[in-house]
Amino acid sequence: MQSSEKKVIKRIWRRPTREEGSIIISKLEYFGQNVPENILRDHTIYILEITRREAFLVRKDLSELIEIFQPYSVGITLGEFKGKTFTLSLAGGYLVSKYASRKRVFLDKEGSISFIYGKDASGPDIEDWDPDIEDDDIVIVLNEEGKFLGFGKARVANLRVVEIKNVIDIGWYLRSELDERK
Amino acid sequence: MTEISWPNPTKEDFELARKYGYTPQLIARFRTILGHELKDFLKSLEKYNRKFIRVNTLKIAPRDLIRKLEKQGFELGETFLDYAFEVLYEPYSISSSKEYLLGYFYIQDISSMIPPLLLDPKPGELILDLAAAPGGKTTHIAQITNEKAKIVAVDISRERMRAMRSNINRLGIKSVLLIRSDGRKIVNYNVKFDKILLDAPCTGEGVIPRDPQRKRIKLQEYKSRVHLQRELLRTAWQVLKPGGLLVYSTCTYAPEENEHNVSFAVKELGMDLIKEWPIKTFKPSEGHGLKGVWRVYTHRHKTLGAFYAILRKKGD
Repeated sequence: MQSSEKKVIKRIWRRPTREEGSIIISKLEYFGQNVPENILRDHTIYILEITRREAFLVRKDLSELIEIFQPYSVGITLGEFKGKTFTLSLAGGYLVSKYASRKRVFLDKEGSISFIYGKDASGPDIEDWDPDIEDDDIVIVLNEEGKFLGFGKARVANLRVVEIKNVIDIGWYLRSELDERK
Repeated sequence: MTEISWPNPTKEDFELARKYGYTPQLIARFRTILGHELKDFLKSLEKYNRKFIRVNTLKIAPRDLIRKLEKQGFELGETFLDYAFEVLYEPYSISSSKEYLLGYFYIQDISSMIPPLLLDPKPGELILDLAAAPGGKTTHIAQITNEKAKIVAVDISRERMRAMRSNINRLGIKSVLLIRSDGRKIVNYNVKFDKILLDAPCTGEGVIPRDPQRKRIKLQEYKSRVHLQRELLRTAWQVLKPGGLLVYSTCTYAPEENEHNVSFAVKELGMDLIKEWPIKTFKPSEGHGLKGVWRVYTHRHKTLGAFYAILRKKGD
């Protein structure tokens, strides 16, 4: 017999462990040495672990309120842990892109539009890239004005970035809104 | 439960109800509020399709966004707010533009931009948004304070809260805590707030242009809404610091959900009504049978319908 009682999920917010902290910092540094310093100025990170283990970026002075309210969500989602891998979210990517100096790929106008519709980018769509990109690297994808479009996986051949596989793009915001309405 | 009495519909009310798809009782009630303006009002609700954007000034300057959108063929008109614009022409849906996806603006009726302005939030304040999702007003408060206020946003709906979280991520707001809870339970946390926005769950007569089903709201729903609104008002009063400000707003024309509730807050809770309208560039209409509260009507103000009141808790 099934229980009719609702399962109450207790949300426990905590600071990152030392290991989680260093994984997050390395992820931020992957896109540029100064990224962690710029992102964490005036902000701090909290972890919420229920079915997923997510990291949130919040203003430092919200800490006391987080302890009191144990909220549903707080600040922006910086990213998510899967085991020892940390994946930046779209909101995290937007912030990182403002300070990033490495692992960036720039798309032209047509490539940008296609990318935010969930497509991959290749050949002529790829306008420029940072020289440190290696095959299979996760890269920040930007448009011709340097605005954040999402994350991709680079394919490099003959020292050229020849393809960007779409990992996630900002069109997700719209697609998820449309899904919600269905 | 609160008693609600409606006037008896006239023969003309029945005819208008049939023509526009309302209950005759609702038409009769609109007539008591609007008199000879009734037909203009009903017509305006059929025609209203204005769309507005609020520039997220935390991410981009208004003129830079407008330049980008105009370059793509969008036509935008000015409003009373220098960071809000009317969308006059869209070559394609503005919500699928990359500027939207980058969190450069929020789509919101101009009437919904008013409550955060009335709240006048300041850096350092602890602010409660008591029925917050999907977050248009919450994110506006964060924007006004340049993310220097601490904002607690409460809503009970799981779906709307999910949408709010997505909006907050898209807009990049880092000063908001989301609490998914019945707003009445906020008293359990023993936290007192400097300012509270209660944009109360209501029957939504003001948004009939967007949701025509609201033309046929049942009397019972009015009663249950008023009951909930008064409980939320009481909650707001309990968790507000002495001297703290409460902005009460709705998107309905029903006096029971508006002026009557403000009278309840004044008489039963002992709150002071602040009667001066603080926005110099926008003039609403006076309340229905109560001075010092404010209404906007679709046929007069060319916005969705709304109600606003500013209350202060007694004390220093």
